[in-house]
Amino acid sequence: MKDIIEFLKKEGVSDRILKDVVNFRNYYKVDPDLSDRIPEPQYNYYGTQVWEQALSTLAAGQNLLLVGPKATGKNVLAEGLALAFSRPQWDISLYINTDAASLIGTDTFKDGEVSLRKGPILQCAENGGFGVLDEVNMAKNESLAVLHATLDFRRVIDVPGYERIHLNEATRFIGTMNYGYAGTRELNEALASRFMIIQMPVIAEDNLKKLISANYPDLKDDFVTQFAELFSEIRKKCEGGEISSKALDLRGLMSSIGMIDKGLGVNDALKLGVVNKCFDEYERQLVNDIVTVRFPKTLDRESIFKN
Amino acid sequence: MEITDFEKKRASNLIWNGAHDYSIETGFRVYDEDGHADIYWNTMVGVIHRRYDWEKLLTYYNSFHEKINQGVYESLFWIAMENGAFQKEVDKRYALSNLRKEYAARALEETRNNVNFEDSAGERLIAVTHGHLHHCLGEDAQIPDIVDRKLLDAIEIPGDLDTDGAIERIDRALKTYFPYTSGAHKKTFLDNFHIHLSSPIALIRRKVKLSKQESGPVRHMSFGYGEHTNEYGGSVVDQSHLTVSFAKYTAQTDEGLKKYISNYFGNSVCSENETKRLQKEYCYGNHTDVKLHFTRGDYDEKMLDAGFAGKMHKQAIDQAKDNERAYKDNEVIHRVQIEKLTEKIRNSVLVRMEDQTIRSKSGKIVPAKVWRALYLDDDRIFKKTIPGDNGNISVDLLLDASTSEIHRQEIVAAQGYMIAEALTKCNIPVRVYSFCSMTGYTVINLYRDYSEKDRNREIFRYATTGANRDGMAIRIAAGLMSETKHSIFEENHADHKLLIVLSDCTPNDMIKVRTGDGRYRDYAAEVGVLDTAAEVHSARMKGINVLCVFTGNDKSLPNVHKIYGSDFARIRQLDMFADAVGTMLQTRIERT
Repeated sequence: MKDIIEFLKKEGVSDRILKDVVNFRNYYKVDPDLSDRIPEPQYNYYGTQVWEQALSTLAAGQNLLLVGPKATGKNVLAEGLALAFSRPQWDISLYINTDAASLIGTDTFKDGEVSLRKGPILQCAENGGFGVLDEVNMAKNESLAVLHATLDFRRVIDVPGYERIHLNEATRFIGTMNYGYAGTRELNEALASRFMIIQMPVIAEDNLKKLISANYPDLKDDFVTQFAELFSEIRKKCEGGEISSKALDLRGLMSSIGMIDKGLGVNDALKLGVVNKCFDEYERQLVNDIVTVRFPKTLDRESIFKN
Repeated sequence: MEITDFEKKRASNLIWNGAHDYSIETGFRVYDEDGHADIYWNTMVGVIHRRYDWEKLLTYYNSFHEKINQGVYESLFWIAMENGAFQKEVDKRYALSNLRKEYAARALEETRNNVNFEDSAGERLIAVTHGHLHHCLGEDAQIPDIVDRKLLDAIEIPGDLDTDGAIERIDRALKTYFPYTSGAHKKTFLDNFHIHLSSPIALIRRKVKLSKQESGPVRHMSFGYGEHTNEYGGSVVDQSHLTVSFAKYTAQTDEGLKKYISNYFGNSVCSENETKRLQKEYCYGNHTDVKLHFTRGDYDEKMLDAGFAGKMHKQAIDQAKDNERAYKDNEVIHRVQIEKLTEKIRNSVLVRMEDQTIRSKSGKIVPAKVWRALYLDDDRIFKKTIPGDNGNISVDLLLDASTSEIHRQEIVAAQGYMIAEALTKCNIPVRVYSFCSMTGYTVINLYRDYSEKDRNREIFRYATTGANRDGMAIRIAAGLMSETKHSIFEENHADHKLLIVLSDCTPNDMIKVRTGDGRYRDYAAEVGVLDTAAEVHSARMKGINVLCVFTGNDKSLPNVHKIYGSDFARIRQLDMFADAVGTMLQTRIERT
């Protein structure tokens, strides 16, 4: 628990903000039953400025919306925030058919009588959790309208047929969305105005290097750079409109390095984790070319890891 | 040797990747014997781009032009630059030395028994090239001649030179070992490009004689097949052809011009008053001086005899026959494609549109079923509705019918037809029209309106001519899609409106744009792009999903970004048009 604060300190997050976070943690104790809901992120988010913005937003009692393209670390940051504030997290993935009932709750039958089956939003609100509304712009605006009162200053949920519930003081909601992604809908203003919005920057190469070496400390520095540059090259190709963003997959890249660590050849591992993400044959060839001109075919674990 | 579009694309991508820059020209691409993009060389061309001042290098490179040993100098130049760039890059890119070895081994093998010495300079080049390849493999150069050996040493420039240093070194080597004088060339860069295109030289005799068409810009260099292409289509647009044809008719009355346009494209579908109203409604701002002509291509025989316009109209009619014939030649394939596309769209439509009610353990209680919970332990006494989308969808397909698409008329027509057929089978209303601009008129040619399920074959009328005023066309299309009280086209009441534009994203028209201070600017390049972008934006503000299927070249890629943001699909060949639209529709339908 301590180490996320240490990590943030090391990343240069200002003491003043960290003090707020620590105070928050000390004031709002976690119900031991829920402590296993506090996330343990596999990766840390790197980017001091974004951390500071996000932490102060939540400390100030606001809800947060993270907007950015693929592989900018929206969900990694969201998890990191729940950990930093030490709050249980509820993951709520929104999709086209999400309706109010699936968010708040519906009737169900228990012990011979009809009772309320609580939805994730309601549970999160009662327990002072951090609710991560993933891909918030995939849902229809109408189904999100029930959240308006929850997200604004009223901080209540009115469950039809049941009672009116006030949000636990520690409750926060963090939305993520990928704007302009083929087919996502426009977020309506009423909803957007209830969030503070961070435009997530593309991960800087330095931070990417930090991320890679933090997860694979045995990886030689040269190769940390090589993988980071590979990722930048793929990103450039996406931005150039040559390929879709399928191969721009940071998770895939990290997993590939993990597989190399387990003994798979570098090119093979990258094929599984990155190249084959493109289902279009042409695209796959273009991505494969990037790998070919960066990593020699014969490269194996021994040459890129220290021991 | 045939080089497919994809291999060209791949070569460009390797160059861009090496250069870390997707905006540069990829005028020099390299292929191997089988016409595949050469991984090593293209990457190196990109690296040279990044590591040196490319403009300076090209100026120098072009100074070889029309010198007696031009080919030899060019090849030596590339060997030198490859060597220098390799030294600079090798520590940054670990695969490079392996790739270089692979390439060298392959190149040695290929040229070993396939060499013709044409003259002493050529002979020397072969020796030096082989020596260099041996060096690449980490071996001794194996050059018997001491002078050739020295030339090789001189030409293999070290990695610590900058552009000027490199040029200076190459220049010195050429002067020492060849009857070479460095000359400042006076011609512009473009001139030279043009001449290169028409004078392919064979350095090492080709194994297979290239057919005339194939030999075009591809030529054999000592290290592979190089290609010079001129891809400056985007920003500098030659509008002279438009002015000429316009000048012929400016003397005439407006009435005469209208007649001319009617004869050219077919009768207008609007009454005079309607046309006036539409003109007033749409031709403002950047398009103030533009006139409109809406047609379905109806004509009578008399019109076909009306001079030049009649002749062009006849040509368009012939083109329609060609289009249909080209379609029929591959009818079986096309039918299969239509079926596939239909399935693709239908699947996503069905999934989206239907409301589904299911019995579930939670949701809205169904009192009549409560006994089941008490006596049968069946908790599924609730019903849950998985909502479908009650809204419906419409698709407008707007085709660029300007001269730039002239070489692909048959394909565009066939693909357009297939899209329309597939959508018709799925009961999705589709409207297909094309746009082009001519002598001040923007002409909208309607092939098929939403309800005209039996008129898909009209799309074969697609024929190209004139310029393209994309901004105007998109403004009109968006207007017609949201207007509800006009009478020329059918009204659109769909909840989700899609406008798909097939375009090369290089807007260009002769009617200029009035600026605030009373001057005029050409509707081309930046002005055209920004205008089109603004129109796309305002269409989106009206709730229309505007998507682009981009057919242009690399040069106009920045344009498509500016105009459509990320909502475009680039197609490598036009026979992928229907497929691209299918995928776009699928994702849109699933998410709208």
